[in-house]
Amino acid sequence: MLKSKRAVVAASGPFSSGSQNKVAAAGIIILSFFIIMAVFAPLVAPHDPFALDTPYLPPGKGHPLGTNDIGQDLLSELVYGARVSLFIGFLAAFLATSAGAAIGLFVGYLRGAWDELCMRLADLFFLIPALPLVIVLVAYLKPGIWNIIVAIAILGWASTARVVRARVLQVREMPFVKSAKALGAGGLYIVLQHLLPNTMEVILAKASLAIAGAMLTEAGISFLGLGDPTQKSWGMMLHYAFSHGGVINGYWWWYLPPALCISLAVLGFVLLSYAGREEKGGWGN
Amino acid sequence: MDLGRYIFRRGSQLLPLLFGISILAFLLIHMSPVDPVEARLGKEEASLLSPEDLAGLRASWGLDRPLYWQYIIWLTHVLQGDFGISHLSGRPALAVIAGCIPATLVLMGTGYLLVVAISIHLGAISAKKRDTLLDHTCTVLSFIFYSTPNFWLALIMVYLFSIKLGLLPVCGTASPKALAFSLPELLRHLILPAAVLTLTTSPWYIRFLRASMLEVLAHDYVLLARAKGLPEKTVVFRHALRNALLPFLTLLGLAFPHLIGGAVVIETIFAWPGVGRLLVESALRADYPVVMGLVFLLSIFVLLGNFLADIAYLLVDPRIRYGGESD
Repeated sequence: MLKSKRAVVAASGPFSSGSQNKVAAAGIIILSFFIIMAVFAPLVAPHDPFALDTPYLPPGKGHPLGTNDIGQDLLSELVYGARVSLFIGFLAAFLATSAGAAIGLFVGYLRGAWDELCMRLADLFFLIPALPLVIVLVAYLKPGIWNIIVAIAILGWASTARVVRARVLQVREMPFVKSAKALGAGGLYIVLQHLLPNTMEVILAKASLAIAGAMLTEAGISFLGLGDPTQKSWGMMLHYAFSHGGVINGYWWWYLPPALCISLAVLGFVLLSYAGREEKGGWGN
Repeated sequence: MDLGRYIFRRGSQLLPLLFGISILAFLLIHMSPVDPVEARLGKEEASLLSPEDLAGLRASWGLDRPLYWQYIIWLTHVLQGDFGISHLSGRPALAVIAGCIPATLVLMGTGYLLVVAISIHLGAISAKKRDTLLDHTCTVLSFIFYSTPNFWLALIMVYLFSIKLGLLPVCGTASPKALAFSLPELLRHLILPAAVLTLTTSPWYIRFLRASMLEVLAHDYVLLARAKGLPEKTVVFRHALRNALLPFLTLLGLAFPHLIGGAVVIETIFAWPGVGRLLVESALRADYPVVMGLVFLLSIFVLLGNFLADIAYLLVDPRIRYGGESD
């Protein structure tokens, strides 16, 4: 009776059961749009994003979104920006999540001293304020997309490790894991064959959220002037729009599109993560 | 009795974390591209010294010793409050940092209180009115504000409220004409940064509390309270909310790193003279003593915040005191 009632509650609420699929679909549609834009950037973009023309052109013929302060086509920058921003988001999140997942899986399975050590380390990384440290690391390592990716990844593994470990602690006590062990299965086999598939859902939800977080972080540090000046990410476009007069002069076609792209792409990943884990409030742990 | 022992045990768990933070901060300084002699004397002074003098100085500061020994020397300095001399201002790094703390406390304190108040209210109400227009609106707004970069929201609000409508000041903590400190002036300047900090931080907490409330509302004692004929308000706010707040407390301890991250960006945009802006400025202009001091102190601050949240949890939930520690 109690159980069924809880199940009912868990299954209702906005964006659940039937509508949960709609949320996932919305996320996928948004993301497909950006991914197609990124992959086919040379076909979609009307110009080479580095080619120079007349500066500060308003939207018009030849330049649908106008040009920036050195005469580069803004629509082309935006299209190529999808490549850089998504690449940073995907790679940083991939590194952070896979490191966190591997640590969570193994220490959750092995327990003992390694578990203790890694979880204390995770506590440490979980608690230290990430954005200030990313800023410090990037400033040390010199701005560049690889350094931004590494800095975000180093500081982002802990929450995945904690969540995956918690899940592993439940799964490892289940009968099928115990029987595999009794049949003489090795540790690596159990982790890869039994624990990984049963934690995959958590890992993917975390990964989706990590991409959103990495993209927001990249946008933030680029905006602050610590981005890679040789790469045209959406964050860098905003940085130039603000530092080179786009905002003061009210050139909305310069600063509005990249900001909307960041928000929409982040929303896409958040929706995807949310659809995967409704019962826990949707957002991570 | 039990309470004291628990606090002591949790407190002693802080020590290894503090130790870890200090090692991390030290390694970051060690990695830094700036020569320690330059860091201490300033570039011009250091360039005047002969190579022999430099070697002598390095030896006297222990820079020729092994790494662990350098760490010990550094730690003894830090424990005495000596984080080195700021390159930019020539003042001790700790003094520079301390000067920025009040402004940050005002901004983050306001942000924190607003986040707590808003997320408890909206979280509880949207759980109570599940699937109504209010709940859906709240959900959609949460997603929008979660996905909006904070610097972006800040600039929209400045554009709207300061430039277009002229209602609020663009940045700073007081107007340039003000000679003496005035509270209304400070509050007027606080509105926009605090609003941005709150709006971009709250969504996560609202969603969390809503989920927590939905779980609690499905319990039998809520059913019982309803069956007894208690008013719905009492059931939701007195019976359910209290229990839903328990996991929320832990989360509030974790809100500090979240808020600091927001404050870094928001302070920079609004020229709010706090530690966040100091951090960005120092990092951009390679003022490493200040940067490392800030990282170290911010981490300790977060750690203590988390510790206090744990104690608060303990005070409101006696189960933890009598049961073991949950994993």
